[in-house]
Amino acid sequence: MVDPANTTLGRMLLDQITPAVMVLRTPLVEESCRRNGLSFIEMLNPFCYFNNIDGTVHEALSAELWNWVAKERLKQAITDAGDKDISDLCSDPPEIRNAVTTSELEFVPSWFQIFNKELVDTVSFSDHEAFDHPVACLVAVSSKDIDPIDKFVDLFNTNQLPSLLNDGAMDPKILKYFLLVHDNDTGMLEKATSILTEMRRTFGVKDCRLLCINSSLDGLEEHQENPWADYVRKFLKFDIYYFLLASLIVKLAGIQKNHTSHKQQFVGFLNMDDIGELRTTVQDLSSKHIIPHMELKIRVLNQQVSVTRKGFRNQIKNLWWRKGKEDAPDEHNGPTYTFSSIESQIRVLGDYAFMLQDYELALSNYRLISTDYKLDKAWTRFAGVQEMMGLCYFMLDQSRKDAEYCMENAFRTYLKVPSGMRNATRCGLWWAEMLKARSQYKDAAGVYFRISGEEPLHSAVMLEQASYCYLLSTPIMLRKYGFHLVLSGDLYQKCGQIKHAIRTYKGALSVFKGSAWVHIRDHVHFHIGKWYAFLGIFGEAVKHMLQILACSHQPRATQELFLRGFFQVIQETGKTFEIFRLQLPLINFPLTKVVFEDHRTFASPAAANIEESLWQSLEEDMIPSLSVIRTNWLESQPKVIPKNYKESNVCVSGESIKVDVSFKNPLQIPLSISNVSLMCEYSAESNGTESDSSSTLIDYQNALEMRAVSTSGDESLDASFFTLSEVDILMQGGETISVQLRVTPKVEGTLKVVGVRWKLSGSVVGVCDFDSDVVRKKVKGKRKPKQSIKGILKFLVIKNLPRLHGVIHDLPKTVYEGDIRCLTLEIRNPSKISVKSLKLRVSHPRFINIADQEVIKQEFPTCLEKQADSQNSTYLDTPKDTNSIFVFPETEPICWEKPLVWPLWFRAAVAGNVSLYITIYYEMEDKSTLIIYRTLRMYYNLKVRFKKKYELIVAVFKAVSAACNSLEYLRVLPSLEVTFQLSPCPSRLHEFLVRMDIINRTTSESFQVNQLSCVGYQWELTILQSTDSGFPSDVLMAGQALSCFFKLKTRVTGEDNVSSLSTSGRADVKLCARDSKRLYDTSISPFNIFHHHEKVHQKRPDQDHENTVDFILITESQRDRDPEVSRSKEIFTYYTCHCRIARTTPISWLMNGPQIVRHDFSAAICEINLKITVHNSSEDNVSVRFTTHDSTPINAVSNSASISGNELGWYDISRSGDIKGASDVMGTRAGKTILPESVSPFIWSGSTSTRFNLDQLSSIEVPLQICVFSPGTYDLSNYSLHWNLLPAGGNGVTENESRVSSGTCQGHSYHITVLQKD
Amino acid sequence: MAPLAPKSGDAIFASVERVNAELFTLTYGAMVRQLITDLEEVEEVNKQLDQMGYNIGIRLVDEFLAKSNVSRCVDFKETAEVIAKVGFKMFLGVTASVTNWDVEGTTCSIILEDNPLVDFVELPDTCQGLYYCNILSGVIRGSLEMVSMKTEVTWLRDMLRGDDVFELQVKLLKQIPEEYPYKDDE
Amino acid sequence: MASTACFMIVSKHDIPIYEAEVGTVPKKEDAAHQHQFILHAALDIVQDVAWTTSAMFLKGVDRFDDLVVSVYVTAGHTRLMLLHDSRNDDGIKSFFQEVHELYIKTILNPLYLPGSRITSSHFDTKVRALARKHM
Repeated sequence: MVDPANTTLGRMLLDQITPAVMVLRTPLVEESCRRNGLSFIEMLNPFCYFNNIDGTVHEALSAELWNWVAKERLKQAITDAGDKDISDLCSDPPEIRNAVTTSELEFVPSWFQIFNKELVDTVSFSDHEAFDHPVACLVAVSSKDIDPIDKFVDLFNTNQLPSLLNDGAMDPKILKYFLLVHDNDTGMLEKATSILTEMRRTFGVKDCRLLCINSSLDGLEEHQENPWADYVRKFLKFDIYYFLLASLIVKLAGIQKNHTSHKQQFVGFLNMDDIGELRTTVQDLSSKHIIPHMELKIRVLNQQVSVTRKGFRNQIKNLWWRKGKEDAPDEHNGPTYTFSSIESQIRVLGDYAFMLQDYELALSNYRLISTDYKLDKAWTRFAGVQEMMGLCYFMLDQSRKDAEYCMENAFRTYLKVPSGMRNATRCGLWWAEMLKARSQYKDAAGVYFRISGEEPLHSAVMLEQASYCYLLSTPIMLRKYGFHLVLSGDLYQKCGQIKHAIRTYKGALSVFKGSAWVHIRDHVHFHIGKWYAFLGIFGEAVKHMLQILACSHQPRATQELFLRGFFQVIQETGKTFEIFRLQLPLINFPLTKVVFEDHRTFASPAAANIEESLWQSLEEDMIPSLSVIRTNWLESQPKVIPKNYKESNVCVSGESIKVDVSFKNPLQIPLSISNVSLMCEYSAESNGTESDSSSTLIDYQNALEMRAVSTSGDESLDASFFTLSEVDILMQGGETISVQLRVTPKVEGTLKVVGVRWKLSGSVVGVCDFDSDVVRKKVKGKRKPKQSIKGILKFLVIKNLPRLHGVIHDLPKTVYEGDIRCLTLEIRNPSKISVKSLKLRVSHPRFINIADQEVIKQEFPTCLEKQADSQNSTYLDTPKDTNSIFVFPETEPICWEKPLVWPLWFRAAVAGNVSLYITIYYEMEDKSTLIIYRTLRMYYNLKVRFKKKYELIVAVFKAVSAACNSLEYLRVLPSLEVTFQLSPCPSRLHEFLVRMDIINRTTSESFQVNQLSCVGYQWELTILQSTDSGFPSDVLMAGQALSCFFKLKTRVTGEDNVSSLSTSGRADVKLCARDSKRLYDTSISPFNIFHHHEKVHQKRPDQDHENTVDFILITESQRDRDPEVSRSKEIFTYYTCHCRIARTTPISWLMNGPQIVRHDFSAAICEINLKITVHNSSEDNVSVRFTTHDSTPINAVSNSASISGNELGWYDISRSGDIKGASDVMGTRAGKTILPESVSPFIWSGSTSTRFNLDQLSSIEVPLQICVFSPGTYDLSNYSLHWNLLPAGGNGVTENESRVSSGTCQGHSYHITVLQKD
Repeated sequence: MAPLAPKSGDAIFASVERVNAELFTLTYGAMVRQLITDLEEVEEVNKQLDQMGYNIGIRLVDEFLAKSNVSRCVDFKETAEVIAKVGFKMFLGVTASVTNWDVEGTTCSIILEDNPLVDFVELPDTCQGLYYCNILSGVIRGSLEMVSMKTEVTWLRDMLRGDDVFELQVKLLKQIPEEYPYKDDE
Repeated sequence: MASTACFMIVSKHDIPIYEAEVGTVPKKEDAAHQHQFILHAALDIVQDVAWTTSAMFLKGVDRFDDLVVSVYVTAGHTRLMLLHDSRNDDGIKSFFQEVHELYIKTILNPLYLPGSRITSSHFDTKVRALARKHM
């Protein structure tokens, strides 16, 4: 432990608890001192310690006035300390961690010492303690006074002495020292000496002295060393302590030291020997008078005390006496003690001893009276004594516990008595110092905290000191430090000490910075910002305000508060700030989409949203292979581009680059964001050197992330190079809005999109560059392509290129399934440069197909009607590959004045969600550019409804469709559902019954069934009902179903093609009664094209033989009520391909022979020869066993059952739509088979069972014979054919187990009538 | 030889050796957590879990049949019952119930009241859309595929999403019949 | 029932991962940051006291004028801190214990990243219910 005297507390005590000298002087003395700009006391100051009790002043001031003075002085102290600090106010506080390692002194503000001393001084001259009672009185009279002797006398008459002397708290007859001040330039020194001699005579020899000053005649006395320089300015007082202990040399040395420390010129009338005389005067006073006086007094008092109080007898007596005094009315301060009373004498003794640093003696005396005071309930005095005891313990450096106990005790007691607060404060200060001296900083902080409270300004300082204690305590308590700093800061701010408040808050900020305790952080930042704004330091204010803007965690009210505060600050600054990475609104990274057009151009934004691979698959073999196809827009450029553009994308000048940026509003309050735009750098040189405008972002990254907008518009400079689009958005709370910003380069060069800027509610400009580390961080980790966002946003601008615009006119919004229309595709080229070699490709040829050009001239749909001569068109025969490229004829390159108009066939093939992708390829005229070809990508979405079931859903759907219409969606509604079902007609081979079921699925439409035609030359189609008898109803109402029957007949093979061509008309059947109508030619486009695609589409894997038939049903509808369709007539076509004959077995047979036989039964039994022709219509070899029964088999029913089972087995490969239609057909046929005939005797002659093999698609004739015994009509149905598929080659039955491999069928009924020939 | 009588799920569950439930749960949880950190997309995690479950299922079914020696199920209904009553009991120690069949008997729901996988689990906002127990659906799918039923298993209800129970919808897509060597001779 | 009580869970790295005002009186505007200040400062004391004692429940660790800070230090050195002006310590203690149970369940959730913020609404409601029950 260091010597207590050298600790802070020690120095404080030695500094303050010192003998005081009362100075009484005449105005003339003052006046003569004033000539040096010093008061008398100030003049003496350097050489001793004068406790400045100017009798008159002190008399005049009442207690609270005194308080007021003190408070003013304190505030003064704090304020100028604050002013001193404001210089480094803007600089950041030292980082706490390393500040701790450095010593306390440079961290804790130095003015705390001064302040504390001031605080202590305010409580001096209280009557309960004696150490600041003057021990001597210096009476100074100027030699110019008229009869000085009397002056001396009436200066020292009691009525203007301090109250202490009068109310008997202290001994009025104190040591007096008479000083005659002589002003030398008035001359007449001998007069002064005469006065002195007279004084000597009056007051005694050794108590009088003559002091000559101002001896320099010209007022320009130069002093290298200036004793006053620091004393006058600072509150530090030189200490009589030196006079007491140290010898003269020491003192001089001390002074010397002080002077050399303050080299400051001092001009006055005092010359060296004046100063010397001052010095000797004071020394004489102190060493010859004060100290001996004090020692004497101590001696006297000591023995007096020992007489009365020491020793056992005295103790008893004292106690008894006190007890006798017990019933005295104890007012609060206990009895009043006069200076003569033994208690105050002990106290005086103790204090003197303390002043002379005889702490043992002091302690013993204090102990002695503390009990008395306690018994007397003289609490203030008791506390004072306790306090002194604590100090003594400290100075003696013994038993810390006692010391602290005493201080604690004193502190408490002071708090108990009214108006003891200030004493308590002083006590606390000393106590805290004591604890600090013993490095118990935590406790010291506690004490400081306890001191604070009575008066905001003091509390503020105390709390700040407490916080520093926490900082210095081990383990370091940073949070406490910060907390107390903030507390004191609030108090400072309450007292208007804004600078101090800021200082403390900044100190606290170094603790709270970046902590997750968001409320704390926001609070601190917000207040610092506000106060800076109050002081007019707006830069700092904004910087702090920015920290709290994105406070999504705060309640709405607080958010509004913060935002309002922020905008206030901004308005006060008057200029609009540009803030780098402003938090409002947040920008979601990574960037969602960057759309630009190099060789790919998009007809609509929707088309740009389709992912690249889909387009590429479409364009695969259209675009020339020399350029590398890029999988996406991130990948590097094709080889034709120079190396340094590897990472940059190509875009064409005059065509805009679109960047989707999504903003998020973190707050719950709406924000208004205005002119959002991209920030771009343009560099004309192709080698990508940064142009000057690129420097804007660089200085953002520099230390301050904010600057005032420079009106020297680099934007305007850039405006010549590119144009930016500006968007205004209003964001609701917590909303996320994605805006599409576009920049349009104007000249060639390198364009780099560096960031986005926006204006927050018209006052603050936010800037965010995409290339910052924040972005990197966000981008990284996601499974994004390796290339950084920098690469994405760097563009190589090449010179202007033609860009085609394409649109498909009158693409209907809503169509019914099967609708056929003629659309027009219009391609226009706005630029001067013309393009050539157009190619077109459609993703879904089922829906869109190219027509030939002259279709435009003809009017629709009459052009489809069958001409007299049906010629086949040149190049529009059914294309071989399903998705082919249509090459526009090289008539003339499309140039800008006339658009290219081309007809398209559209057919709503199926009700379903279909997206149409059309891409048009074209090449530039000049090959000079980087891009020699481009593709125009068009995209149409067919939004489609599900199968309609309930009216409710329909209603819902109507609403949806209304919405869809606005979105230029194209809907295909289910209209007619057509199912065909073929069954062989039992009577004839190569003839089939066709049953057509039509169900109108629409809600409101009515269709007119117009024509049914089957494709292919080998078919003939005839209707079973005669047309003139009238088709049941040629107009099919909504929801109506219709089924009608046709006969389908295959041509006999071997007929040549020519005739088939000529007679192909017979494949069409007109279904409407009116003859006005002409048939449509199904062999020309678009029917054949769409038929081809339908055929391909409806192809099933398990049937690839020619034995199928395709039907085309053509209907019309009158829809004049529909506003959006101009023409009155629409044509619907329905293709049903690959209809197979609904046969149960692979074989069909026909029994033929005579119908009526006349025979003479008398002669012989009748033998009738028959033939059965069995045809194998399957593609497998069949072995057939023909079995005859002589009686109708009983198991016919079961057979029919098995047949029906087989038929079910067959049906799973047919359309699932027509189960209903088919099953009742079966029913009829089954019924036909099982009706029991009258079995009349006839027998099959010949073998009952014959087996033969049929290879595929062949037929065989088997001769049969029956014997009839009596005339009658016979049904020869009692035979059965058991067929069995033979595995043909490798592919056998196994690959499709769904087909039955064998079966048995009953014979058809064949009636033969035998008549008796007569 | 005569097939043994099919054991009840509890019997098997009693016979198999156990592991601490929390250990099991936390292990599964750790796995899911890792998947989430690796795949980053909730959908991916669902897929992955289902795939894992599938791989488990195609192995598990054999042990299941061996241990439980249930006889061949005549139809899908019975299969579902066996899964719910025996399978879940055997491997998870909980019994499920089978409800709401559709008309053609190809779709049913397996309802789990409690599920040891989801102890302590709570879906945070970042993981919305995650089917935490998706591994179960995979297991069912895989094991049924081994007995030649192509199924589609989807979650209808999930306690983690605030429903009252777990509901797995098992939908029989197609059943590949085992064909016998069969000739009609006469 | 405590008129004002601010409950907060502070992670091992002194980051608040859950906070709730569970007092009866509607909290004032500045209460939020004031409570945070007090609790945050109290962490210093906790760090001192926690290693001196083996008890988990440190009652009345720190006080600021009439508000008392009671802390429950889990084994993982996660601190459940309660700023309260009521005096029933055993109620607070049981409150802490039950919240501790909840907290353990929460960190057992495999989808919860330990040390991250507790956003579960279920947890929140349970905590408030417990507060109402015990204080």
